[in-house]
Amino acid sequence: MNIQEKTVNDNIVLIVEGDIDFSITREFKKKFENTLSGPAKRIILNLSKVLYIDSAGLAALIEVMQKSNMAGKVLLFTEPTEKVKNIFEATKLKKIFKIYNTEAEALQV
Amino acid sequence: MPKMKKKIAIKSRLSNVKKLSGEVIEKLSILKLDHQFLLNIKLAIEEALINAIRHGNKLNPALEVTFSYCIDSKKVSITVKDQGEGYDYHKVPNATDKKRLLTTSGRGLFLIRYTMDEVKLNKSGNQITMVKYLPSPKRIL
Repeated sequence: MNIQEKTVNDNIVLIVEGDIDFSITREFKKKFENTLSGPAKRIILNLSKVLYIDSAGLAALIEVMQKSNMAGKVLLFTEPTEKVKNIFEATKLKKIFKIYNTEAEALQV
Repeated sequence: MPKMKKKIAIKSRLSNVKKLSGEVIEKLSILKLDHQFLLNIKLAIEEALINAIRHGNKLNPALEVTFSYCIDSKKVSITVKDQGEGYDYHKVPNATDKKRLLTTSGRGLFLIRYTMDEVKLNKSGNQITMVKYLPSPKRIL
């Protein structure tokens, strides 16, 4: 897994590339917490390059969303691939995640 | 396609998980199956192995997990057994229950059932057998 970070209008966009699974959740959460400690109020997690997610990966997303909320920040998900979208739907996590089709849409929220 | 079978006992280390799922996916790759189909099988295998290693054998490397698979012209069958005490899988709460959506555990078995066609656990809950039927054009007689 690789995470690229960019700043767009004071928002942080994290572009995740690769699997989000049990083998990388510690690294993923650490990277996210570094971002969370910065000044950005809104963090966008771009999932367009994530082809695989498991239950540990889902748990990591829930955890970072809760940490964002506790820090008074907003976490938005964008461009999930079909595979990830299907898993979000099956697990009903799409009800609690803020998911947008494009980064541009999320930036307008 | 000739039947392929294997049974192996591994130490309870999470580093073994991807090796085993990778082996099965590699065997299936000759069938030119859809990538999403393969990812579903990989997900079920890895969730079952993680459950066995982490929850069944409590990450105790002295305990083993038995992993077996059988691939034939119609289906892929995978069995994972740990040496733990097992659990009452009937009491596992529904992972999609509105009140449980924020919980960070308990989705492994749900994802296995979601991705595979048949899932059976033994009475004590320390063995799971999962079956995925191959898409019909791939069923080679």
